[in-house]
Amino acid sequence: MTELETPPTDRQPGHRPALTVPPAEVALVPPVAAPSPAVTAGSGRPQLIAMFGQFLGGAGNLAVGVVLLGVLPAAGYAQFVAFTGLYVLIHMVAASLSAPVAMDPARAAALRRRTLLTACAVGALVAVTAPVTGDWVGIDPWGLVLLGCAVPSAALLALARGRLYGGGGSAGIAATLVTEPLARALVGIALVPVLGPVGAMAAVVAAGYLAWAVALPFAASAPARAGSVATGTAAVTLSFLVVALIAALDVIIANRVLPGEAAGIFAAVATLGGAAYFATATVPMVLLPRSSAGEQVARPAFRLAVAVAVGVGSLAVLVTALLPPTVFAAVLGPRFTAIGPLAIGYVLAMALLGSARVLVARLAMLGRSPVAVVIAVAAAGLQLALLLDVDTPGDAVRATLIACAVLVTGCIVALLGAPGTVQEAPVVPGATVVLPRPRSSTEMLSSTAEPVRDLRLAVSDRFDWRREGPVVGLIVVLAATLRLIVTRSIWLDEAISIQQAQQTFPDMIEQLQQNDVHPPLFAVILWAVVHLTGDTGEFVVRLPSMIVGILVVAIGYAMARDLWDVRTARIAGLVFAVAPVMVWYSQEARMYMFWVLFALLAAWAQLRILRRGRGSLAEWTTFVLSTVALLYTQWFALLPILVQHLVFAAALLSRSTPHRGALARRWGMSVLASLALFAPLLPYLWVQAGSVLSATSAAGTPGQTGSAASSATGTVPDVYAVLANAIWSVWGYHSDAAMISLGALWPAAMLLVLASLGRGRTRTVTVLLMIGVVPALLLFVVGFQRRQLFELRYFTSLVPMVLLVLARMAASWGRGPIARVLLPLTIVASLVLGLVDQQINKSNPRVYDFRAAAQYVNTEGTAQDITVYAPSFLKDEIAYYAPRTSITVASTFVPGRIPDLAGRRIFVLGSFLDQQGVSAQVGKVLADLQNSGWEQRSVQSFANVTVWEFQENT
Amino acid sequence: MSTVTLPDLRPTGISSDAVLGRPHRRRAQAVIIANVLATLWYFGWLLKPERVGNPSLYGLLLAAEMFNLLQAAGFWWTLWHDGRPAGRRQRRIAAKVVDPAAAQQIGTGGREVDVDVFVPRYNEAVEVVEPVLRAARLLHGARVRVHLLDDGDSDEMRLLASRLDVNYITRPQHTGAKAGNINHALGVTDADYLVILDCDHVPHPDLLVRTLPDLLDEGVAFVQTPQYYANADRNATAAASWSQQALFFGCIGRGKSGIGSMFCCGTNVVFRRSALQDVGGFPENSVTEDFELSVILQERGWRTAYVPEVLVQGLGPEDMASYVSQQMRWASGCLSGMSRSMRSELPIGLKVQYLLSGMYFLTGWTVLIYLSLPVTRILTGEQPIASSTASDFLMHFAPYFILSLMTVSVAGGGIFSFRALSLATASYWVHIAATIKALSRRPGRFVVTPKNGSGSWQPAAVWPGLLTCGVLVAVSVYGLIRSRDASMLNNVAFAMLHLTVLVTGMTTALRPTRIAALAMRDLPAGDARWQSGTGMPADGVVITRLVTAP
Repeated sequence: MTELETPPTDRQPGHRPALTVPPAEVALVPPVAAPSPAVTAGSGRPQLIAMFGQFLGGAGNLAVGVVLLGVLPAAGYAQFVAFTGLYVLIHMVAASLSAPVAMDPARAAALRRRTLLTACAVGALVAVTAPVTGDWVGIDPWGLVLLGCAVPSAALLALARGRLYGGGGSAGIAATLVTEPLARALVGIALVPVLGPVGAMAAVVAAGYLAWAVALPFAASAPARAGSVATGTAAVTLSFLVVALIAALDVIIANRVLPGEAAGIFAAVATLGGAAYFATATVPMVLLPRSSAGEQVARPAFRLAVAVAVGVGSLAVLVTALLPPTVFAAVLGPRFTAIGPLAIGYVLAMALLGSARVLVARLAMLGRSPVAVVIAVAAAGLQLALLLDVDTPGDAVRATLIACAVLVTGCIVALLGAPGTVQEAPVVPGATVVLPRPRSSTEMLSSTAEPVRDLRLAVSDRFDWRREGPVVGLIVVLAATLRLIVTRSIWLDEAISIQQAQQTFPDMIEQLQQNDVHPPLFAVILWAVVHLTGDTGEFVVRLPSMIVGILVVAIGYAMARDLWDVRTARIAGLVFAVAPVMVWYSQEARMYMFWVLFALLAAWAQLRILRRGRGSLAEWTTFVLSTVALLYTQWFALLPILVQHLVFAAALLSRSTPHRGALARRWGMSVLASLALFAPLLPYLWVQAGSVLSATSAAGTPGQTGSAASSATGTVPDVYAVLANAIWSVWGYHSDAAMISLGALWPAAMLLVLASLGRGRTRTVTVLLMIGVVPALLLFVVGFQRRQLFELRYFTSLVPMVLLVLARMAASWGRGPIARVLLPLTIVASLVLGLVDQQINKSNPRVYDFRAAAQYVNTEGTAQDITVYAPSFLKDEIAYYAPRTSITVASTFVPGRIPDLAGRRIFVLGSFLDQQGVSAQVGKVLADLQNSGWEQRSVQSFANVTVWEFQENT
Repeated sequence: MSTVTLPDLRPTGISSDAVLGRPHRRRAQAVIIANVLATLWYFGWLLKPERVGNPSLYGLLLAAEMFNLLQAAGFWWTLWHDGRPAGRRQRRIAAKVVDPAAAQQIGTGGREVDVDVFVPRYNEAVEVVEPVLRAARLLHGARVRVHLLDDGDSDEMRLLASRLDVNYITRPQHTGAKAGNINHALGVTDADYLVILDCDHVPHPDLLVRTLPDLLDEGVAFVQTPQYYANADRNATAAASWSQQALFFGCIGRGKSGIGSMFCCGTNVVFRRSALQDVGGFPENSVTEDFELSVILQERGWRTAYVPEVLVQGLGPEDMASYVSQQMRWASGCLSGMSRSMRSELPIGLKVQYLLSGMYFLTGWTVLIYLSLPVTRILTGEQPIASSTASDFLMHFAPYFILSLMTVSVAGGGIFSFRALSLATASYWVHIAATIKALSRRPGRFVVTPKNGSGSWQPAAVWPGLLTCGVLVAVSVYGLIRSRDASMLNNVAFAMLHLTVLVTGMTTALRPTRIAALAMRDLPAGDARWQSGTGMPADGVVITRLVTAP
């Protein structure tokens, strides 16, 4: 029996019918009760009460803050402010839980244990890592321990408030909001004299718990109500979470990116804007429960909420605009007299964001939260992209304003396209009990595949656009966003490629053959792009890699889906989207992403061939074309291709391979076809062979390493070199200090080996590991002769294989319900951390900021000035950024030969100063200039590039 | 010589390969050779005088490493005999079984032999015992008499025996626990062979057909078969516990069989009555009477045999309290039995095999040493090894570590899992407690391993493990407050490695009920034994791959 119909009974809300089957196996659609009067009535009064509570709470917290400013020492107060910032951030994140509960208070009970467990885990993590993170965030470790203790209260409070919103308990909401400042004041009075700033922090945490305690009786007395079940909890939560992220992201990023003074100004502006944002925080929450009362109630409630949000936002903007500069000076300090225009812009942004939350709430009511999530993620991505490139507080304000405008616009468009009524829960005369197909134990035992716990994620051959489309779309949008956020300038090799692409086609090929060490495919693509667009801008030349980088993410998803299941595919998609190396090379105008793409296709084709025993024509064609394309892209591709052919040979020797005769014939034909397709490249290789051999026998152009931690400077590769390359492959490129710390964590590799005990070794994983690891091992061995060849750049194409295996591990190694969530989450989170550090940490030894250096010279210099650069191999780089001064290389520069011209300046641009020859050359130029009567005016340091500015003594 | 046809292996042979791991003799021996070389490479480096850092810590590390080396050497030796081609004895047995019909009539002159089946019971419920008795009555290949040895004096059991037409045996005085119960039954029965089945272990009808041929060799005292946990597919503790068992009853058991050192495991075993009578029955003063009986039998010149086929299916411990109780009993018994093994007059090879088996239960001490090293380093700055860089250490240690695990993996056919390793590691304190108990000569008490899980949330059952985790976390936090240089991070990472393994091992005891229910959601329900719903074996059950519970 797969479906049971139970007769209508006099069940009460929340009561489940007695069933003869175990409850865990039953998917029960709960009956729906009539909405409570509290939510069927108009929402004007509840909106007013909640907003009043919010106002009192905000004012009270401000007053407590002002009192503490007077009581605490400056340093202590600064710590308290930093603590409060993080505390508010935690509450903002947790508050997103209020939304789904407000829509359906019955969810509170279901969410409580899970939420509490998660919150406790996060809290424990915050507390345990306090010694490490304390310094970084500038807060006493005990403060962070307290912060960890506060996390559960944030979750509990959010759930309780959700229930109050859902039950129409605005008075309870107001009470909890007012309790917080009162409790902070009362507890603070007791603790601050004894414990100082830590006491103030403890008071904040205690206030959170007290507010929750106050909420409990109100929540218990709130009328029970079943709400809409049309929208998933996760989607609603996520939509509000991302909006909260937009409100917080700018302060965090600006604080890291802007210089001290500018960051301070932006923080002040953000504080004012934050008030505008919080002023309307309760509005969407009061609105959400109306979804269960039908469209006649929901629609006017939505209009009222929009009116309130827009009205309060406009008022905030107006007030800010009318404030005289003296008020800013009086409230924030004299440094902030002129922040008026910035404050108006930012308050406007927050007013928009407040309105956007109402629109997001309306989308949730219509069951369109997934759309809201996509829009919000896109807006947040855009904001992040813009924020990473800000130079002034104005830029940061602009970034947030644009993101908020995009969010509001997107939500409006989505609402216009949405069906015009709220998604009401279906009223069922009797609960329908649907039993999953029972799996017999014998069937379970005789399964040859990995157990598929979630039947919904079992793979089917056809791609289900409705089910998988949004997830894939989201992953691709994420991948595209991350790849569009470029944080580094054109690198030496890119400059060489761009220089080559600007020549005529025959000249380019000639130059490649004579002076380069790479096959011509990427150069041809770049040549076409440059000549078609007539542009060599950073974005244009990197566009091919970016497009291929995004394509690789989609292929990673499809490949994992084909090889395993949808769950693995989702994780693989995410892993590919955020994997630092994938992002890095997607942003480089070089051949690496093409190499990755073709390697991935070749591996996929081979795995499909081996799976079916002999392979179809399409699979063999893909294999042949991909492997040939690999050789046209990068000579080092020869190693993985050889390994792939060895895998075919091993499969032929294995008795378990079906259709060995057919496989042998087709393999032989594929080899012949590959050789035929490779043949036209032989003359090219013949001419280039000399350059290739000389390049592999000695280090020529620097390999971007420059890192002690990589041991790249040693004469032979050692274990640390293996570790460094492994870390680069998965977690990306980092500063020397970070690499040393990461390298010290090698016991994690022991854990990996231990955890691999007893895991199934399928042919798919074995082949992927062979393709992904054996070529690197071969290069490790080669490294004993040619040390510089054991470097990730020469086996980049192996990274996607490793990532696929990693995704498979993340998807299948966790068997319990917690591990199944925690394992992929931890892996993806670690990749995200690696990505963020790789992209924004200026200490990354692979980041050379030639763009900023050239901009500086352009800003400061004129056409009559001179730029002297060293080392000489910066020629193409300097030519690309083309400072408007005249340019000369340090090796030919003689100060005495410069014609005397009043006010003329010389900029000495030096990079690779860790190389002895280069630093000596730059040192000589500087000494010559000083000896010739030039006075050094300034030194500007950019990432791995330094500019000295000289002016002739008059 | 005429063609020898042994009885068809299906279904138990294929099932056994699936759950015990098929022997890969050449592959395993190749890995063992590499492992030996890597071990020489590592110990050659470790034993250099300049490696001595803090002498005490170095001594401790060396003691742990040497202990592991000893165990590893024993493991290699045993594995080397895994999957050996049939020897002379097997050929002789096979020669007597000239056709399948002979399998039905084992014995001399084509006469069907008598077999007594003993099902000792203490406090188990009717629904646990009934399938065992029913299945025992269906055994073929001999004239079978089933006896329920009820030490619980239960009327329910008397009725059950009567209903199923099996002999009900009880005794006036319940001394000597299970051993006493069996010895008493020996006195009131008379068949030439007897089978001992724990009262939750359901036999396959082919049990006697597959085991009695080994008893044609008059020098063989008993034939042991694996102790399989059928609930490994629906209970996480049983799954991890089975994974440990599978390594023993798979490659180790087969290897011991090759050496002739397989010992009796107390259930799923077929005895020759004359052998038991020769040594006066089971020793009643031991908690692991089976282990000690094996030593005594072999001292008297009897040989042992092992059939590596799952012919009986039982239930493993379903929660941590049960697991800990079982391990404590085994550890105490085997450690106590070590002195008996040492005093025995066995041939040196057999003596060493018994000692190695007993010594396994000292492994917890090495875990304690490994746990203490990063803690000591963080707290005091002292470390066991000097004159070495991390790279140097890894260059020597990594191959040894990886190849050791590969040996386990290849020889065990991938049966031994991380969860099993974690469970063993997290229970390290059981070995320590058992050692202290054995040294203080506190009398052991026979405790029946609970058959039904009492619930998953059992932090009290693993409190020493939790305490260890607390120490690791506290010391790590303290260390990170003091310093965050590479050396400190490395030691904290080691502490976290231990922590992860320990927590994984204790997971089932720390799962809130709701999470445990979630974990059980898609797992099979009902009686696990023979996957039949009733616990009774059915024809054609072929397990091609065991999916263990999360």
